[in-house]
Amino acid sequence: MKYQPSLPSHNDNVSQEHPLKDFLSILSRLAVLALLGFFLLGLLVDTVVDHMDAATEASLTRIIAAKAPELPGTPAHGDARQARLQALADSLRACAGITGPATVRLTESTIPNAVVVPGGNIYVFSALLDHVQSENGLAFVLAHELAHLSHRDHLRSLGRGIVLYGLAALISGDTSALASVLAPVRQLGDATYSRSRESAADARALQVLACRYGHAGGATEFFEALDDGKGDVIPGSHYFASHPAMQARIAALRAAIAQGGLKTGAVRPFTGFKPGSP
Amino acid sequence: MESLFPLLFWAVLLVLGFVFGQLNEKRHYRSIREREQAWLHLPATASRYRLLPGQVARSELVGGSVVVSVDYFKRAAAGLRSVVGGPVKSYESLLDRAKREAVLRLKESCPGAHEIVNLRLETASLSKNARGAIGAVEVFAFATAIYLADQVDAATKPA
Repeated sequence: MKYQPSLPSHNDNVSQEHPLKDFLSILSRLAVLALLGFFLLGLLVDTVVDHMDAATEASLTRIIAAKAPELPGTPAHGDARQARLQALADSLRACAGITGPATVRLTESTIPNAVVVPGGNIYVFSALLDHVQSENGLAFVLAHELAHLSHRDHLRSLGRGIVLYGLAALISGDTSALASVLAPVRQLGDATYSRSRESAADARALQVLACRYGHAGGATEFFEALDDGKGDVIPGSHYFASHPAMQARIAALRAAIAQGGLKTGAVRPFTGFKPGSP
Repeated sequence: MESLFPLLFWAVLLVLGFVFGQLNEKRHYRSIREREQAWLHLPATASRYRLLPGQVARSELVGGSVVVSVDYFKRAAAGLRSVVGGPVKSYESLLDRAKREAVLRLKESCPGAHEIVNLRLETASLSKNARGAIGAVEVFAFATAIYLADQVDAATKPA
C-alpha cells in the first residue's frame, strides 16, 4: 500500500462554536441563581430578625455592646459635645420608640457621617457637626440612626454578613474564578437592599423629627449641605451605591413632608457644639 | 461606588484577554495549517513499525516541546465551567494548538529525516493549580527519526 499524505479536512477536537456563547450562557445562569439565592437567604435573615423577641435582641445587644470598638480620635471622657449629643439622642428616644441602649460616641474625623453598629452604639464623626446648621438638622441625623436601631437594621446587616458572606466564601473558596464573578452580584444585591433600608430609616426619622419638634423643619439640612449638585460620576454606578443619592433623598423627604401634611417650622439654633459656645 | 472598581477591573481584563487571546489563536492556527501543509511529506506515526521500505542509514531520538499559556478570558470561562461541569471548550483549542505545534517543532528539528516513528506526546501542567500561578501547559512530543540510506524521497517512491 502506498503512503499518501494528506491533512484531515475537519478538526473535530475543537468545538467550533463562538467562545463567547459558552461563557455568557454559564455566566448569566450563575448570576441569576446567585441573585436568587442571596435574595432568599436575605429574606430568611429578615424573617428571623423580624420574629426575634425583645429579650433575645436585648441579650444580643448586651453581648455586642461590650465589644464596641473605641475608634481613634475619640475625645476625652466628659467632652461637652458628646454629652450634648447624648442628651439630644435621649430626647428623641420616646419618639423613636427605642427601649434598649443608644450610646452616642463622638469621633474626631473629617468625614461628615454617622453610623450605627450592633449593640446600640451610634458613632458620630465630628465633621458632621460642621455640616448642620441647626439642632433640628442634627436631630434628624440622630433620628435616622435611631430609626436603624428600631428597625433592627444593624441586626439585619450583621445576619446578612454572617450568612451571605459566609456562604459565598464557602461555595467559592478563595481560589476559584467564581468568587470574582459573584462578588459584583453580591454587591449589587446588598446595595439595593441597603438603599431600601436607608430610605425606610429616612422616612422613620422624619416622623421622629415631627414628633419631637412638632414640625419637620431641618430634615433635609444635612443632605443639602453634602449635595455637591453632581449626579453619578459613572453612569449607572448608583446601582452599586449603599446609600441613595443626596438629591434623591432630599426629593423623597420633601415628597414625604408634602404627603404627610407636615409643617416646616422654624429651626432651633445650634448650641453647645462649637468650641467655646455655651 | 468603590465596589464597582473590582467589576470594571475584571471586565477590562476579560475583554483584553478575549481580544488578544482570539487574535493570537487565529494567528497561531494560520501558522500551524501552513506548516502542517509544508511538512506533509514527512510521515509521523505512533507505530513502532516503519511505514516506508528501504535501508535505514541511521535513526535518532527527536523531540519538540511547547509551552502555551491561557489568556484571562479562557481562564474565566474554564472557571465558570468548573462550577457547572461539562466540556471545557475554551481549553480545547489551547491543547489542540499545543499538540500540533509540538509535533511541528519535532519535525522541524530533523529536516533531513524520511520518516518519524514511535511518536509520543506528554503533557504537563506548569502551575499544578497553585494559587496565583500562571496557568500554562507544556506539551512535549518525542519520537524516532528514520534516515534512509538511498537518500531518495521515499514518500514518492512506490511501495
